[in-house]
Amino acid sequence: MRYIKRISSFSYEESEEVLQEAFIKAWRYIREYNSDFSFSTWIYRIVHQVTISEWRKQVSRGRENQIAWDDEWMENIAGSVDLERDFQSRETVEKMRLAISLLPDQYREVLVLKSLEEKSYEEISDILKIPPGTAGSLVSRAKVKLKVILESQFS
Amino acid sequence: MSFTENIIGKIEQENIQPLPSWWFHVRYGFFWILFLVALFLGSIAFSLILYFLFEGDILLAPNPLSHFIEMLPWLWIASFFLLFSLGYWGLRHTSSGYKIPLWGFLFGNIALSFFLGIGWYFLGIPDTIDRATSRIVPLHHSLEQRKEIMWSRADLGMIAGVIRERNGDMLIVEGPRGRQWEVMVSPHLARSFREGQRIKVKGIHQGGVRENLFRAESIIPWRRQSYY
Repeated sequence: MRYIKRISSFSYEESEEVLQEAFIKAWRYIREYNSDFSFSTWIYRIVHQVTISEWRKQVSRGRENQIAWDDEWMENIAGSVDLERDFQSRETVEKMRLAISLLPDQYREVLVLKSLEEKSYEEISDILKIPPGTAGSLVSRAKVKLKVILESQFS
Repeated sequence: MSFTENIIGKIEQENIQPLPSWWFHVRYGFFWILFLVALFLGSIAFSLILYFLFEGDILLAPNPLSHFIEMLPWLWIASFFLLFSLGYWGLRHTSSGYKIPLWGFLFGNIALSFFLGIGWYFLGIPDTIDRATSRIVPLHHSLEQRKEIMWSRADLGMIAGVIRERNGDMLIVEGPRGRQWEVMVSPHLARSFREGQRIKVKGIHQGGVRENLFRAESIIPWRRQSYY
């Protein structure tokens, strides 16, 4: 549920619906699972696919692509790009919100998996179905991009 | 009703069943087959590109660069890239194909296509396919057709045909439209070729009284590679 909210801005009720859909999909696809990776990674993959698919549908219908995020989101992400700031300041919070909303979706997704869900590159690779090297470079580029945006916000 | 009960209730109510294992085997099998077929056909397209490059007489043309551009086999280049993309798409949809990066696939595919392509080339497969395609695809001219046009330019010192007679320093060569050329060669060079052999001749069209007289500077077999 927390992961769904981190990669979309679904409300609690909407996230519950998405999670329900994801569990039903997992039940339908249960025989697809094999022991090449952990069950948790497989569930993450399904939740990710269902959430992104549903979220894109909503955005294409005109919903604002603004991510709802919490303090943990902000501190972990800012920590991952070595940004020392006072996150109690309203101005800082607003700038962070803007910076994160400016990040392309794929960067935001890998940052969430790496910095908040604490997944390894191998796990990110299996969740997003991308090569492990690509997962690593996406995370690095996401951090650089976020840092650039944040520095321009705070300068 | 709790969240868990909700999900179980929906599964029971709608009688949602897990998809059978064979469904996944068929699905992933389809993508593996697609990948392998694309790889196989891609290697044939690649062999056709090699065939045009090796047999296209690029360096023998009066203007090699413009001739090279003219001779580029667009149909086969487009086919190769289309099959390459299809193969990559198929591989990405297999159960673990997503782990292979694009550059890995690119180099692997080109290396494999290259080795398989060379094999097909020496087996004469591109020649057969190219001829067959030119009969089916209206705007596609086979390499043979292109070369016949290229080697029908006596004014540029380029003729071709089959040796009908060998007489000392003279070869009687029959061109594609039945024109008989008297080709003057050195006796040493004349001995290197046999009657019935198809050749290309670079030299000077003498013209004048003996309209069919051609002085050869070099004679090359029609094909670099003999398949038959």
